[in-house]
Amino acid sequence: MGIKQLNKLLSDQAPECMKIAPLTSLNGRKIAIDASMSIYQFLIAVRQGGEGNVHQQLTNEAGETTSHIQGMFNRSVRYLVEGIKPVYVFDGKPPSLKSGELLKRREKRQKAEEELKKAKESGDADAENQQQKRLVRAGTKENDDCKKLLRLMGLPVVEAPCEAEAQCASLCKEGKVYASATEDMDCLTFATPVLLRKMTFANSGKAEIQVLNYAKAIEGLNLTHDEFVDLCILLGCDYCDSIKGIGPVSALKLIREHKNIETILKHLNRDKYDIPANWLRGEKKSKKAKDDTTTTSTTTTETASTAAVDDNEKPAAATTAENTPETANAPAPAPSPASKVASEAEDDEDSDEPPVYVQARRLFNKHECLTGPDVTLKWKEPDGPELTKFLCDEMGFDPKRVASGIDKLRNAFKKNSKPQMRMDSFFGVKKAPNADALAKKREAEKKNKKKGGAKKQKKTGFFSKR
Amino acid sequence: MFEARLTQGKILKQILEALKDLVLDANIDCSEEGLSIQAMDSSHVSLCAVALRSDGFDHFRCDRNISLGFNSSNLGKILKCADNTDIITLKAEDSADSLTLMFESEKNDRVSDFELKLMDIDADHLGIPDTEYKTTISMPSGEFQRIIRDLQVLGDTCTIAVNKDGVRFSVSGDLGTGNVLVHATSGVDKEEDSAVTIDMEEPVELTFALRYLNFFTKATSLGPTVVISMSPDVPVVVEYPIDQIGHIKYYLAPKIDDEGDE
Repeated sequence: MGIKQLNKLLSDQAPECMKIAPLTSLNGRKIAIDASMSIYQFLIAVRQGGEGNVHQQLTNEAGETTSHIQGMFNRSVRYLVEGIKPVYVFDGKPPSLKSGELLKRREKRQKAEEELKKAKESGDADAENQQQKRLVRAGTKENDDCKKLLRLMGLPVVEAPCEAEAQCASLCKEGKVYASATEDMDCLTFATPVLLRKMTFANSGKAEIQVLNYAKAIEGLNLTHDEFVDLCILLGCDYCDSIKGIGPVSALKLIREHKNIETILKHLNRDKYDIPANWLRGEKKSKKAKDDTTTTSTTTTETASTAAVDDNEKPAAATTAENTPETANAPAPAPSPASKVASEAEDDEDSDEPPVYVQARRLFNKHECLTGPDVTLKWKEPDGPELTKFLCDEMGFDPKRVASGIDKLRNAFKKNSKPQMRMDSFFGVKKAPNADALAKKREAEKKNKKKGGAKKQKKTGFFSKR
Repeated sequence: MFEARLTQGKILKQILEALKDLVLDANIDCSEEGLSIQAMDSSHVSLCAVALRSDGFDHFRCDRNISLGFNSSNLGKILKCADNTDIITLKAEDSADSLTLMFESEKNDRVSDFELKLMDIDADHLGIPDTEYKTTISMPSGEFQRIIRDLQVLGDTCTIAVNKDGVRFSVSGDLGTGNVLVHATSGVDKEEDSAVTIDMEEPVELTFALRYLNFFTKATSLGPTVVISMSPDVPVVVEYPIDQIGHIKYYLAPKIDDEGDE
């Protein structure tokens, strides 16, 4: 899920983009929520059963799971009471590039299933709980239930054509909502201006939310948007494998030095790093063509097809083959496991396809989203009788609780019909007088940290050993 | 180096009392012109701006512009240690991480000093344009405080309507409704402090959350009068002038009819 280590990298390198804000600061804001993510969370978290027992999901009389409905209902009521206007965005079809990631997840599920069996046999309740949580899946039924619930509650539902995070980001960019709310860091790569995390209110008293500001993030990392996207791909996203051995720090360093993945690949030591085969697609072929110029005509047709490949990676591929003959030659005489995989991959995939990171980049930058007049967000009055019918009769909820929830919804709706305006909708935000001083201070702190780290290594004690 | 000495230390104490319920953390921005504080409440619905001119202090020195970030309840605790009659001196180095407060009591020959740890606050700063308001009401601050307190019994939103009759504050809630109508005082026989003047270009009617108006009235002790300025569809300004030295101004965003979400 998301971008590996991005959160940590940002908190180290660009702490100014992260803020902890109280829930009240979102008063009056419209927020796009990644519904699929929330449903997962509810299915995992909303359970009953004490410690040491096997936890059960909430179910109705017919034995259908209702955890997600319970969670969705309560949380949405809470949002509205706080003056937040939620828009729920549901996932559409996953992009084809994600299939690798989805396959991995399926494997993990299978593993969990086996573990669960084992746990059941040995009667280890804690392990059983853990594995059961890993097996949770939000299917079509869960999604449809939630959509129905939300519509009855009078909340807008957006069905994204593709990934929900991307749709959230696009709504946010268009200014239709103030922020996107999801745990998924991808959303930042889709350039949502504001990302909210930890909107769970696990402890209802002190609700604090993590607010991430996109502009400040890339400013703090000192990158452009394109460089940031490449950085995320290097860190590891859902759409393709990353290069093993490149962690967050070196990824950032490489991007700062070389600006994009193409140039990085050109300069990277191929012996040291195992670059996934599908990153070198196209490039590999041109190399091959160079290596075995004497061989059959099939390779020449391949060369022709590579020439027709996307403009983006053509120059990179060509120059690699020319400038670094030693690395280009290396894989040919002694085929490493990677290159074997590569040839397999080449067999079953269209040879016109650009390297996978180019495709991932395209996904991040041009995601299929509903825009403009295609999306209408309208908050309506909740449909009390239908809601009661749905929640009490179908889902088997306590009528008293449902009634009080509906009351809260009605009040919130009334209140929102004459909403409290926010100060920043009248007066523009300008730079605080202390902004420069603060920035300087942070810079100095960063430097000090580095120095401090170096010092620590040197200093081993008062008296050194001879 | 920043140094400011204020004979009427009481003013600082009262300003903090007027702030601390509304604002958690804020910066004191010091410059040659004086001290200023701008901060919003946590819901970003209201804004509070304090300005104290340098010439209102007995001694004022500010070599470089600095911002002193404080937590209002902590600063409040320290200022509680000062008597109303004390002379208060504020001191900070240019790149200091603490603010020194010195309280001198002339009667008792006592000098106490406190050091408050400062914090880095990067809150949004809003640019407030100079605006000509359609109506300006000036009335005794105690009177305003009382009206707000009374109306709060009945509901949580209050409509302030200004027309040629005067100012009408009205509220409606589950218990019932309430109205307070204040006329402008006629003639010159009244004392200045208790006069109500209404300066109206056109009638204005706006709705506000009483909760915030109530927070504003915590500044009542700072001055005998309050000046309320309104224009349609913009925040109201509730200003308490502080004699000889500056003012504290509160801005509150109105509640506006939602004309359909697009």
